[in-house]
Amino acid sequence: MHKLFFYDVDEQIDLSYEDVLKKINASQVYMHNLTNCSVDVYFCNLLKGIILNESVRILDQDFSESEAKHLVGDEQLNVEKEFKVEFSSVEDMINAISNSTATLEIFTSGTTGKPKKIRHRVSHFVNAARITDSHKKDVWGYAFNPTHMAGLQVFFQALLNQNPMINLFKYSKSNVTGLVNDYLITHISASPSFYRSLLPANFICNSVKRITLGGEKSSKELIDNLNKTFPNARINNIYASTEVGAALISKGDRFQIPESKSEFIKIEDGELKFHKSIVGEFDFEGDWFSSGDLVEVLSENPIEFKFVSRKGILINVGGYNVDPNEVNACLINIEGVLDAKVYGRKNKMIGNLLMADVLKDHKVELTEKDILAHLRDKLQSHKVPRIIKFVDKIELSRTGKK
Amino acid sequence: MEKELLELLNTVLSNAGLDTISEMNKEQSLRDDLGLDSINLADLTVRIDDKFGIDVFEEDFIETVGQLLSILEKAGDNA
Repeated sequence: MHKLFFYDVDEQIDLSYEDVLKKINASQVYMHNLTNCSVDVYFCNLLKGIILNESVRILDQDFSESEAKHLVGDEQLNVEKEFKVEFSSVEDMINAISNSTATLEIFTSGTTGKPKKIRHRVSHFVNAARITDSHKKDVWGYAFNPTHMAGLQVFFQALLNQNPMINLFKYSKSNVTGLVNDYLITHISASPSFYRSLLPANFICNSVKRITLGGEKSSKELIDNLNKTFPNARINNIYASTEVGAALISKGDRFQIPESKSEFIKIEDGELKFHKSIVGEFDFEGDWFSSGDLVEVLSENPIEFKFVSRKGILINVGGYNVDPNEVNACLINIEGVLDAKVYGRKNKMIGNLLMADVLKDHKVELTEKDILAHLRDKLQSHKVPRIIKFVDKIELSRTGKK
Repeated sequence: MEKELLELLNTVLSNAGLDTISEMNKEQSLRDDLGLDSINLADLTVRIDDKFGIDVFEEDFIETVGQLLSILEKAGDNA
């Protein structure tokens, strides 16, 4: 039986590694600046660019033409380039990918403004992947945008071990639980927002052995819920970003800078910084990249820290700076609140009016007034969102973050 | 329009822990009589904008319920 490569139930994509090999061998064209295609076409094109040792520009496939053009500048979209290879086996093809000198050009999600272009060598992803016999049987729940850093990391980890990827990205709770149990998914890596969308946890997935969270702050409540839902899984919290990749793993919310990385990662003025030798290629001044992540040092030798906030995310409300993460943490602790998103709405009088979208458990009676009363009890007045909107879904950014 | 504005005002007053009102008096000061602070007023403007599509603080600084009503009515007439 051929090994499954990628499965997407709604898109009716059911592709084995042998199918990918046949498609690559039969193809005569690689598309530069590819847009607007299905995920299987995107993956095959990505592999072709890597095999050609190209500088592969990765664009979201749901970008409008004007959004994509804005990012590629003077270049054209969907430019055909000649492609011709003949691999004798899947292993042969994967070997070529492992030895590629290609670079991947990725755009950050632009939560801080205009999307930023970052280049990573394919060798960065290959070296970061754990390729062992014990990983050969892994089955991945694919829960990130495939054009973003975290999605690419999972892609390489699965590809280099020839593991199946079952698409969970943007699927609802009932689909996710069905797919995890039907395909006996063993590994899921996703943002806390993805896991929160599975709450309240009224199901159990025994097949999952490893859960990884990254990209946003998580909470003890979420971890407790994940422990119940995935009773056989080891839960890892990682620090990862488009600029750096997956850099650190935590115990609970406590991150440690291991001895081996102490020359390349430092904390200065409460901000986490990375040496240029371990980050992708993009413009920044000096030898150290300032991550914008503000941390609190808990102990020295080795350095242990926890995340406090992100620079630039503070919302100015009438002259007061409000950290939306602090308000969000309070909101999701209210019984009946499954998830929430706190944001500012521009206002001439006070700069920003604090707003919150709330996803509530329909089994629990909860009004805007109840929520405000709870928040007023826990937060200073300027930190209390003035308008609570009940929504069916928390809208996430391109990377699946809030 | 008056009835809808009264509803919005009472939502803001109630959410802010202030006394609600049963009827509006055009002379009432939004700050001094009703007790609304800047954040409460911003809250009110956003709710009015969402409901009527009107940015009430676009041009003038508004002090009283009457001024607020008159802008809404003017915008309503022009719609």
